Amino acid sequence: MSALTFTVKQETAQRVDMSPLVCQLLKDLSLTDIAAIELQNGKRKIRVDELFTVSGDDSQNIVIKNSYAKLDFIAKELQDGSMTVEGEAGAYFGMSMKSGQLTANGNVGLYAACEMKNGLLTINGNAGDFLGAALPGNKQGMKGGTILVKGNVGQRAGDHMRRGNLLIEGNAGDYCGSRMIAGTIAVMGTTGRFLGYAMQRGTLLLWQQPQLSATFNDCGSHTLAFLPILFKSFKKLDSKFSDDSVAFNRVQRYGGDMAEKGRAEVLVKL
Amino acid sequence: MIINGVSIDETFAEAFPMKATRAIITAQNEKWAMISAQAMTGFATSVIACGCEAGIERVLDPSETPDGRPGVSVLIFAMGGKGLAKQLETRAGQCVLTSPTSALFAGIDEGLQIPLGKNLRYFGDGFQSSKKIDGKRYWRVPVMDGEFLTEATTGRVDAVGGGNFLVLAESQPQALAACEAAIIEMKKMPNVIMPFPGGVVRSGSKVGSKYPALGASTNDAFCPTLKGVTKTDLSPDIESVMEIVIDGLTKEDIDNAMRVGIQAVCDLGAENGIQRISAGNYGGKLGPFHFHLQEIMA
Amino acid sequence: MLIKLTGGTVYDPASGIDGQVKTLFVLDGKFIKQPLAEMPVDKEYDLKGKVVMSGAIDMHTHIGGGKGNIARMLIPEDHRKDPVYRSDITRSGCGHAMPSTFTTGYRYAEMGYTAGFEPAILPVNARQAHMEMADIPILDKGGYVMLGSDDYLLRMLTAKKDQKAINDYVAWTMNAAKAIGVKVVNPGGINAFKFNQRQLDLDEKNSHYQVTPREILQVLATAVKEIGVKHPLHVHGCNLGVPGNVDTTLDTIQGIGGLPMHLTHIQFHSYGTEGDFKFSSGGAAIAESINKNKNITADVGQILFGQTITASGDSMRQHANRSFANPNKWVSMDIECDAGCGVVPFKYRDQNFVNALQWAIGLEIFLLVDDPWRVFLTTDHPNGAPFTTYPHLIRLLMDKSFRNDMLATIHPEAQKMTTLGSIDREYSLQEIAILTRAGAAKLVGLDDRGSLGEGAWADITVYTDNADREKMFEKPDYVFKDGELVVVDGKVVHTKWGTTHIVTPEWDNSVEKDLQKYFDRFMTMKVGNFKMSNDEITEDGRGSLTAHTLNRVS
Ligand SMILES: [Zn+2]
Repeated sequence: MSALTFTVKQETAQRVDMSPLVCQLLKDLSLTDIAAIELQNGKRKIRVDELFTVSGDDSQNIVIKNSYAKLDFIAKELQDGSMTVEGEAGAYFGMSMKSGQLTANGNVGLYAACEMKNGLLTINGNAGDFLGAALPGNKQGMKGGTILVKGNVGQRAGDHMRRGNLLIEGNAGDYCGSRMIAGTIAVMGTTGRFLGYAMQRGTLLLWQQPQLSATFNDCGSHTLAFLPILFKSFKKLDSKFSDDSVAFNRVQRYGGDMAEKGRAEVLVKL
Repeated sequence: MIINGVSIDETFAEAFPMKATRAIITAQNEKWAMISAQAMTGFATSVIACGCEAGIERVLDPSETPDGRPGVSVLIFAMGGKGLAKQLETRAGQCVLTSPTSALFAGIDEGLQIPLGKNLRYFGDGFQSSKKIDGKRYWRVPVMDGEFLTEATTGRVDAVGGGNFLVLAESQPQALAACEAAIIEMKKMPNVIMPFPGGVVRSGSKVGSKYPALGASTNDAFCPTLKGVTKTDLSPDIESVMEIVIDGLTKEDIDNAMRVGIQAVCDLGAENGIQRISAGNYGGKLGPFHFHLQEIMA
Repeated sequence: MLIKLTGGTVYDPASGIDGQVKTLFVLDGKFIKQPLAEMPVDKEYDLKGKVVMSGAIDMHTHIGGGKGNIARMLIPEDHRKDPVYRSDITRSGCGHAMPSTFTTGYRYAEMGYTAGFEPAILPVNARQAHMEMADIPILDKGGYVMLGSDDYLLRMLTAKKDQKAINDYVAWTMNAAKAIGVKVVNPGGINAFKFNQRQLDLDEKNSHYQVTPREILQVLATAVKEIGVKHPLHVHGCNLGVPGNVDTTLDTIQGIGGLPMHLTHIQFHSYGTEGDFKFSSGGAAIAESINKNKNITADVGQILFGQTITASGDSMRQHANRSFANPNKWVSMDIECDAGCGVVPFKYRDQNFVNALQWAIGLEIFLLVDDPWRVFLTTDHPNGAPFTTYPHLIRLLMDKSFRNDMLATIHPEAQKMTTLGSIDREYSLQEIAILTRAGAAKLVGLDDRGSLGEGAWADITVYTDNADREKMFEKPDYVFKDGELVVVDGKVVHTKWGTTHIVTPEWDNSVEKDLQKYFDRFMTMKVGNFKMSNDEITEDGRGSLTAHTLNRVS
């Protein structure tokens, strides 16, 4: 079997809701059925075979080629399968993903991996604002799984995050980890202003000294026993995070956000 | 059956189902891991009065421990799941949480999950925090020397308790020397502990007593000083008897431990005053596990 | 345009018609008795075997005003579960507990409703409330202006101003806010909350103004009567939701001294303190009191199980209820010198003892009040349940065995604490028509609505009779609004704009002299901007105002 491949013929002017084209929904469909699916495109509908050339037959392994930044909701609620995007992806990439593997080989838009439940989501480019966050008004963002970003991420990464790992090889924008409930965000690059704003619990693991708000207090330097276990869990990733030389267990610990519960921590590599 | 002049009785050890778990204690160095492990497994020779039977299984190399530090694995056995959970928590709280630089991890992943550090976390008074890594939950409890790291739960499995054999010798020093030799070999075996002091018990018991309040009393048939006044099991030339009791995760684990233990005793042989190997049982009616000495040594 | 509706079974309590087969004629939006012989019928509908009623009127539903928007902002997850897509004739939006304005109009119409009245228009927010309701298609609308916790009135009472001055102020405010009635919410309590009082009983004094709720009810009920407004003072009483508040409610009824008074969402005010959980039903006592006191009307504010959101001007009680917020988020706010507002999402659960008993208490009141002209079908949308649950509620009232089946599924302790199972009454179609049409129109003071009689506007609902009343009422065959067909088979087929119903009582111009000073000193807007002008509603060409008659003032 070869991967079920959707190759974009021509980019649309309006955005496309890609949520019907996800492994678990295509499981029992024939290629003809799939070609006939109608996607919401702006205020119109567009047939799958009008937008894409469809080839391959393995619906549990989907590839989207020539993807562009107006394809929203790719891999929404993905369960078990594997999906890969060649090119850019729009907003809500991997929203509420339940399990499986999802990879973007380009940049992705707003709200990528928002309210993700589990699985492994890899972004080889940059991600927009609200990566792994909660949808507006909702109280809980990402609830589990691992997000790996090799590029940079926008503002509000991990907003309202509840559990899981958000690993960023590049830089993070302002308000990284804002309103976090729990979980771990690791950033190898730089972080912006208002780091951990209103953070309740959870860990921000940093390689570079951040600019901290006045509501994060220095708790001194420490050797923490859980860090080796955490780094060990990154071993299986195809990432800088699996490299022994980046691991550490000596940190400067900052506690905050004292304007909120104050049970969260920013750990900076020493 | 006679091995190296030692007679192996045609009898069997009778053992019981128990619940067991394993915990791994790590520390800055092996010394402190061992101190904590000894404390945790102390006063745990017999379920009759200690609530559980516990012992150190073995020392772990840093490469074998979850956090890459030197460690010690301990096994804890109890008659029921509730008692096991209570003993585990009490001992972890008083002997590991308190012990400098320690960390505590599950030694068994499968089976019903019972609290390890799950409730110890409340010692953190709200400052504790948890991390879920690769599906396992850890608790980080702030303490005066830094942070106590503990896994939330460990697995509980069905196990076997009460495997045993008796060493009958011509003198007390010879009986003890034989038991020491046996323990050295048995400690190399995985999944078992010998819960009595140094692995050896000198006060083997029988069921019942002339005093109604007591459920067990001295095993007079094997007491050498009573050879003339009770229905004895000893020949005139036996002056001392010692017992080794074994708890294991499976019957096979106990088989293997008994085999190497009895073999070590027999290696000393008749020339070192070892006369017989026997075993304790209750007529085979009480415990479902029977360890026939001659079958094990066949 | 002449429409002929042939051979339907007509339930029109306003004209005294109870299930007679009758042919109706509509000429240019209004019913006529009989067309002139030469007049051609433009369109005829064969309604043989169908049930015909006038369009239903929801006399208490929170469909406009600031708190609705706060509610919408607070529960986006609820909207996301119920997206509404555009069609060629309808606009997109979202639904469930607090639907968007357009969806509100469509969904009401699709259940056969043609009018809804917003019961809590703050004078200072009246403009926004009317603008919002102007976006609700198909329905007629109107509102009751909220007084009683406004600092101006309380100052007047402290200063012992005479009833005439208060009447002028009330009439002036009704005109300024384009209202058809006057509502009071937790009389004086919202104001007392601002002075750190966390509860206020009927005879308890506001710590700042030294005025009691009883006094406020007295002067406002008197004012409403004396300026000739037909809709009685609309009262959301003291101690909403507090166990034992049944005594307060009975006292409120007694204390009004025979003046007309409407008690709203009375279910929330009918709780005793008996039983193991110190929470019991006061339904029977309340119903008995309503039966005895002919000056009293009430709508029930039935709760139905599920997710909803409560939005109320009663910031005092909503603040007290904040710990029940589900999902856990809530808003409590002060609104200028007028009042306040509290929004708390709620999930009523049938296995929760209190919720289950609340459900039973509401039904007890429906079934024990004898006179259908004095009780009204509401869920206090969205506070007890979204308005889309009305067909289910109607079935509970009309179908005893269905009701008892539902009763058997609620919290067992609640079952023991209600007499609901022993009540045999089943509402008839005519009685439902009274509750939701003729009675409501009469109560609100609408001259030419809620009736199928000559001269009335042709708001019509046509149902297929069905023993399952829920199915019947959730999907009318036809709905006409002002003679235009808007719904077929429970789906909107055509939209139009309804009118805004108001009254225009008279007042003495001198009242504005003092108000001007007050506004300049305390308010964020000038008195001239505070008053709404007619063209603010009508100038876009789709809104209109319909002023109704007043009672003759003695
Ligand atoms: Zn209301």
